Amino acid sequence: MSRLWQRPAVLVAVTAALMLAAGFAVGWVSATSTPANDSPEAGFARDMQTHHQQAVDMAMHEWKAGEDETMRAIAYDIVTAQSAEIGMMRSWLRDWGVQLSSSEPMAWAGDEHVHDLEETGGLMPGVATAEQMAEFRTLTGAEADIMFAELMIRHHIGGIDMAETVLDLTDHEDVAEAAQRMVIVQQGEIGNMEGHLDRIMSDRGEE
Amino acid sequence: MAPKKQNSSKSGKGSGSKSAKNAGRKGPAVQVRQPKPWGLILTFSGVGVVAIGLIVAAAFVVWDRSQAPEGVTNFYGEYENYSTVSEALDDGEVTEEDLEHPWVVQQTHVDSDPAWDGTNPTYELTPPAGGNHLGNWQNCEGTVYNAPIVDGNAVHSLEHGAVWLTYDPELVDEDQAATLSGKISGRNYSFMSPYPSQGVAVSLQSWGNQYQTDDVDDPKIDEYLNHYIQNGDNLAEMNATCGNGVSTTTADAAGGETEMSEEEMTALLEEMETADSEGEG
Repeated sequence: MSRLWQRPAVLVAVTAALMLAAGFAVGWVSATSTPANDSPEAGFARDMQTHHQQAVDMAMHEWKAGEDETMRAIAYDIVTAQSAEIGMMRSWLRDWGVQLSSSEPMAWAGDEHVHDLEETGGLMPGVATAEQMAEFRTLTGAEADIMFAELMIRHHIGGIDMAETVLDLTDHEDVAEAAQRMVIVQQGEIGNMEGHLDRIMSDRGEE
Repeated sequence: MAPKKQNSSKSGKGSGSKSAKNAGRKGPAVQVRQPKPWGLILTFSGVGVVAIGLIVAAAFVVWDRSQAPEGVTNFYGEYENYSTVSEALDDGEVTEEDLEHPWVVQQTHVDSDPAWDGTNPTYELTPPAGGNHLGNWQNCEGTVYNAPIVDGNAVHSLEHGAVWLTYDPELVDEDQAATLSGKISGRNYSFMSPYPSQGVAVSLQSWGNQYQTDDVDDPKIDEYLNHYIQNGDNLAEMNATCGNGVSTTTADAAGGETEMSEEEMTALLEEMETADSEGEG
């Protein structure tokens, strides 16, 4: 053993190899860890996929039962786009190795949001109640178009609130980019739905 | 050349006669035994220990991330999860018949067979944790059912990545049921129903996995929900939904009803809401 100390080259090589391996180990952890289970990024992705799920359910009924072609087209757009986003967010969560579901929704977004959640009996911003969804599912034709627009505008306002909250909390590139896109797309859709809702209402008024 | 130089340096300060005396000696004899280079030893050992420590820590962190809660019964056998077993089947390493529990890879809609006689599938486990099932899935958007539901619909929800919590109404009182519904109510991809004579207070099912406990406050219940809801390696149909399924109970099914009217749906939803608020209160 003592001979080892007389061979500095061997010693340096062994140490260098160990340090290199340690470097890889640290890199491995940091490359595979990124957002933690209780991070705003993971919380946002988990809650937003649930939030999107209700938008898809609403839009599916409008696509099936509504009569206004433009409103149905908006519904079709929401079903396809938000379903794709749900898949994207689940892929993030699986890649990050975190839970896909949490018993504490909105905890990532701060006390104010948690308080609002408790006030509404566990509903995330803009989410329709079970009663509202049940009522909406009984409607067809123009009545469905109108309630769809009303529920979805509220739903989008809540979704934008969540996306803007995560934008304040994250510098994760993928999450920030997706949240920014959600804000822009949903703001645009709110404007469109408000316009079409006015048109449908005034058409009915004229009848 | 080298010995001569060494000699001259060692005897540099000495007299000429000493120098002459030493001239005949060979190199090794004059080598001074060096003290152990402790500084060097400590430095390199320290670096080595730190490096090995980091490697072990990294391996633990990455390993720990993927660990399931302890005590869960896994029915995939040596294949551990759905991803691995379906890969092995695909590669021809194993056939369905050779699996200890072939139902972990059986996903046929029994009601798609024209010869289906209307009887629901039966299962090895009670309650079941996978296998052939009915074409409709049970709504599992954090839904709390106050009456038993049809196994074949519930198993379809497990295929979609949901966790099904069942309790034995003879072993769980109302307060305890409220504690349990507090964990499920509103939590997407989970659902709960009574399961008479399951023989254990609480049973949790996801596709290919099950955990049973007689303690409604067992912290493993939350761990199970956290780990298995939408767990990509332990579900049989990726990214499928929990919405727009049926809310049928076994009583409805026995009455010959396969679909509910809108009014019945509304009534049921209201009933479930009432149950939920009771659960939270």
